[in-house]
Amino acid sequence: MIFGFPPSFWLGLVVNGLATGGAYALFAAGLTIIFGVVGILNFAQGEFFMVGGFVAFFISQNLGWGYWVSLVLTTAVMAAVGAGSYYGMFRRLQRSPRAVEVGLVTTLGLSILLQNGFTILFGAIPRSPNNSLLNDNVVVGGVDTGVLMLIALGISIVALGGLHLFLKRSRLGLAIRGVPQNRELAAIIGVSSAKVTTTALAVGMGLTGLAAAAIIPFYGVFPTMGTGFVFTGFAIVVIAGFGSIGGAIVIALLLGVVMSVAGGGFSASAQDAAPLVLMTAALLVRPNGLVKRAVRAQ
Amino acid sequence: MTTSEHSLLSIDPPVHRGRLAKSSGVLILLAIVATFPLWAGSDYYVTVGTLVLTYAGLSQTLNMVYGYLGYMSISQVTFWGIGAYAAVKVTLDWHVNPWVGILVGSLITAIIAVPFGLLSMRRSRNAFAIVSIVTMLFAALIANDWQSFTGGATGIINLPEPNIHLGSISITVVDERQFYYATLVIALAVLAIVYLLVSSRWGRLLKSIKADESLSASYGTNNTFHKVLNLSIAAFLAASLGAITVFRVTVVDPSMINFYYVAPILGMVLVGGGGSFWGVTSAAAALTIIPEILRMTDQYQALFYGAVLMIVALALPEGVAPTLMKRRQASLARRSLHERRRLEPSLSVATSPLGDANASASVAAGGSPAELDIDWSLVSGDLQEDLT
Repeated sequence: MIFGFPPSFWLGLVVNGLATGGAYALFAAGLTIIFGVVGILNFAQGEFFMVGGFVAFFISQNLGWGYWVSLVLTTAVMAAVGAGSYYGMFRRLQRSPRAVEVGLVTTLGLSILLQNGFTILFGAIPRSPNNSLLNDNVVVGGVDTGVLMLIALGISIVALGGLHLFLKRSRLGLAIRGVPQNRELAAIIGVSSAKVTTTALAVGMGLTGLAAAAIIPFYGVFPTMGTGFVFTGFAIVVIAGFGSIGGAIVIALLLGVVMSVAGGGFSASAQDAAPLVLMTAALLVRPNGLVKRAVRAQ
Repeated sequence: MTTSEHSLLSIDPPVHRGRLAKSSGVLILLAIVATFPLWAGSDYYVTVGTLVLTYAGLSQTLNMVYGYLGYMSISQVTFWGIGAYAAVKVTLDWHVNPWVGILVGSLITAIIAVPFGLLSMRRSRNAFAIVSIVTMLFAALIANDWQSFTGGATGIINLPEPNIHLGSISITVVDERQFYYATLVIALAVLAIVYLLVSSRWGRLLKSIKADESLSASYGTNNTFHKVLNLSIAAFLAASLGAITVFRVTVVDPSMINFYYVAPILGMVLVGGGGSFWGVTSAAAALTIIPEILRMTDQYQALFYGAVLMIVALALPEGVAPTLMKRRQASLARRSLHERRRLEPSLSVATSPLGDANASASVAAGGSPAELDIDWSLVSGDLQEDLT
């Protein structure tokens, strides 16, 4: 017995936490990649996540193509949206002499627009796509766990593995890691800024869409679903240190577990407060980020 | 008087020429604002007037931190909410007059802002923006969840009236018109304090920190001290506005700490142009009144403010008012150059065959007045702030 509950109860919370933590990891990795390459904190990332959720709902429910198809298509659609957003918005923002501030304000405006626009169009009530696996459980290590949560965790692991390979093995991935380190040098040796930025946005938004598509069967789709993600995502980025992709992933998984344990074992308030408390602690202890080794002057 | 000295002076007239017009303009504006409830017609217009005053003050506190110091502070809404709660708690728990509560609550908020500023302003401006966003959520969470202290989601209702009793004098503050004047007192105080601070020596120090932190530190400025002091004062002012607002609506609940208030004030500062006092004040009035004229519901108001944020940030990142000001100043500078040429025939002989650009380039080394014209256009963004 730990705090009046059997160990298996806590283990179950850890598994649940890893499942949402996986979604947070995809989300935070996208946020970090976009911030690193584009140089803009995308406040609207949460709303892109929400749009991804609606797209996935439309594909799996309205078109009736099911969960697996919705995963692939939502990723593709959101990657295209991300690439398109470069030409529609981010290219212009990048050229601004005060890109960070102007970018934050613009994406904040976009997030308000999308959130309220979707509320007006679709209403605020959460909806979930039908999924035959919704109530299925399997026993993992003596713990009852939702099959969908395990699937979501598996998807996150596979996607993060793919991201790792892409960043480490491909030339574009190398450029995505290199540009944040030295923008001018990258330009000098012939790395195309437009191409790298478009790719980073496509990857970042694609991951965000995938995260949404993976969790909506048990999380639901609603216009404000991105708010919690963007706050947690920002906290993750601050804790991990700006621009550290690996750090963001580790912190996201950790935070998912902490939040799940705090929520299940204590209270919903503890769950909501966890990222904020950890962020404050991280700022106190390691103001330059827990994971990041060197800090780029900003 | 040498030629270069003379040319320096002749740049000045556009500045002084406007001073009389400006002070009489301010007096007329004050007269309108002070008498507004008397001729406004219905209570609805008075309420809109109160909103304009509130938003003018609140956006000006954001202007202090963002426009003049360069730190994008979502926290102004956090502070305004904390101030509201603190004022109510002090009033109810200490059994004091609401005005005492407002003052003490604002002081408490200013004190809370100090550790927050020390913690969040020591890293980059990006980090501050994010931390201020996340802190807002944290404050909203506390307001929602700490049932016994904040009253939870329903908040604290039936707040007392901020009546004033001074000996034999009693002023009741109950209806819309009286609250308009109560808000007017606080909002004018906020505007005056912000104006005096930003146009003082200290205001220029803030601008130097905004322009280049390491450079100003190298001149011996204690950046952290001034940044946190600025944030703390802005928190005090925002808190006083939040406090009078909750006494007006007689309830304080977690909706005070919400993005609902962030978008409008950010929009006002952006449209008016950060670092421009009158620009932000006029933008606050315009952006409060437009949604009311269009009778927008909350949802459409949010859409409106979101669109304003996007359009202004993308199309006119310097703000609407500064862009207009810049144009006007460029034309004023051009006119003063023409006048100088008329008065000094020798100058027109020197410059006219070559045109402006060539003239300034060719005589730059000699310190000719024409050179100043070029300087003016380059620095007009900063000079314009000193003019306001």
